[in-house]
Amino acid sequence: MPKVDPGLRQEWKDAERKQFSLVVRVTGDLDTRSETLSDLGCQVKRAFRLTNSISLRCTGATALTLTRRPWITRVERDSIVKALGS
Amino acid sequence: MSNARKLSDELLVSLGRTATDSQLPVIVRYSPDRVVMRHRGPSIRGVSESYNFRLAPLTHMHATPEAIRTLEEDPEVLRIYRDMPVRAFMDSAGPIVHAPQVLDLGWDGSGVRVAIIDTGIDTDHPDFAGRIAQTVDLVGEGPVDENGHGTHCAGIALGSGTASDGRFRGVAPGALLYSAKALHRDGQGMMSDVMAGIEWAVEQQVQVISLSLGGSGSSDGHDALSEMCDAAVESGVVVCVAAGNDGPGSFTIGAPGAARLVITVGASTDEDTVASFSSRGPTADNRVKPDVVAPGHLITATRAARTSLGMPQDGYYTECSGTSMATPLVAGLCALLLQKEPVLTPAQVKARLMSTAVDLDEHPCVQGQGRVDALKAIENTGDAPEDPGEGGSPSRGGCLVPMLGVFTRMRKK
Repeated sequence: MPKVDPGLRQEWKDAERKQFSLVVRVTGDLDTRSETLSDLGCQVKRAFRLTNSISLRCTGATALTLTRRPWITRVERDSIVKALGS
Repeated sequence: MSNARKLSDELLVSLGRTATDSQLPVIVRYSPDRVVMRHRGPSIRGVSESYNFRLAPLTHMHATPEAIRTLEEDPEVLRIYRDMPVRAFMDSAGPIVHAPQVLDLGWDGSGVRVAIIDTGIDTDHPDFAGRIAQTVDLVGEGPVDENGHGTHCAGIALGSGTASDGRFRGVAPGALLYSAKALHRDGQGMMSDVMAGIEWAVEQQVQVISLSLGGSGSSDGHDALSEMCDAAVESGVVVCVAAGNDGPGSFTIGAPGAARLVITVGASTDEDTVASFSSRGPTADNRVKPDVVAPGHLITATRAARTSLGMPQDGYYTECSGTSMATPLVAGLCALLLQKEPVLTPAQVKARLMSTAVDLDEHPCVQGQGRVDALKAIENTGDAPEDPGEGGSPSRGGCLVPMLGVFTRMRKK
């Protein structure tokens, strides 16, 4: 399974200055990884201990660098979800 | 057709009793030749909340008497009906799954901790009095439900029916409510906020989580939200998730409905057919989903104060449809099971519901194992062999075939 969907990666390339909301899956200590991501210029929103993942915002340019980190195993869009009743 | 015959008898009676500035719920039938219907309603003064049905040239709207007369003059309008209450209330959805019989046996979910992760909760609603254990706001709007969806779902799962003398009682009226507000007042939110709600619920040591929400597009269950749901199940929590409202096409189950370990719930009608809107499997990686179906069509349950979601019945109750409604019904059923047998694991709860479900004679990718039955689940009198049903088995390749028949099922009023 690729670290990132090719379509999303292309969006980052096409808009390197644009902010993206993402969820990244990491290995290792979650607090350490959160700090590192902040140092890389990401705005860390939440860390999830159940799945060792972190939600954050960053530019397309920064997102492109994230996938090169070996401790980041997957990056995906923080998608919109909706209530399913009306 | 003359204008006099365009208005139904019920509407004519209502018009005579309605103040000029009040709105009536009506359904307008347009000419089949009409191509562009979108936004027609709101463009007329005195019309609001219009909704265009997809299968027929019908539009539901709220309209003042003056607006109704304007619509009557429209040559493309064939008929205007007064929208009327219909039979499938929570007081009939409950009996379909034999929930009242389980209550009669003494099981009401007392003490079982149920989390609703949604738009918040009306903490002042009488049907939840004394049973809201904890609330959290994850979107920065405060825990109050300004949409109504979360309150409606909570009422289906565990409302006491106090404000309706028990008529609109939920499935597990003794259960404790944990409400996480992860969706904004517009009914939308970010996947990560829902993930935070799930982690919060697990930290609160809830036993059941109900998720009446989802994203768009088919999923293989490997997205972050689906995997968070599976992680919650692995930590010991039963997680019920709506299949989605993108039916009747196949491959319409998205995240988190595609999660492997959750109980994915489709919607049935009170005629025990699968609702046309209920999303169908298989998942994007060709696994069979949903797992079960439950009544989710025209369900009356708790209404949050100052909200207008669905079709309000009175100040305390409103009627909604969707797999959103079917899901908390199953969550409530899980609470009943866990009260009776607290040692059941999430996999065993799921297996019990699936093995005791009533076969609606539909394909597994439409109905799962069938419509849930509370009494059979409590008494464990299912005929089918118990199967953990983790949605891990490949589809038998037949999911596409039964779809043709589904198109014939029209919304029944």
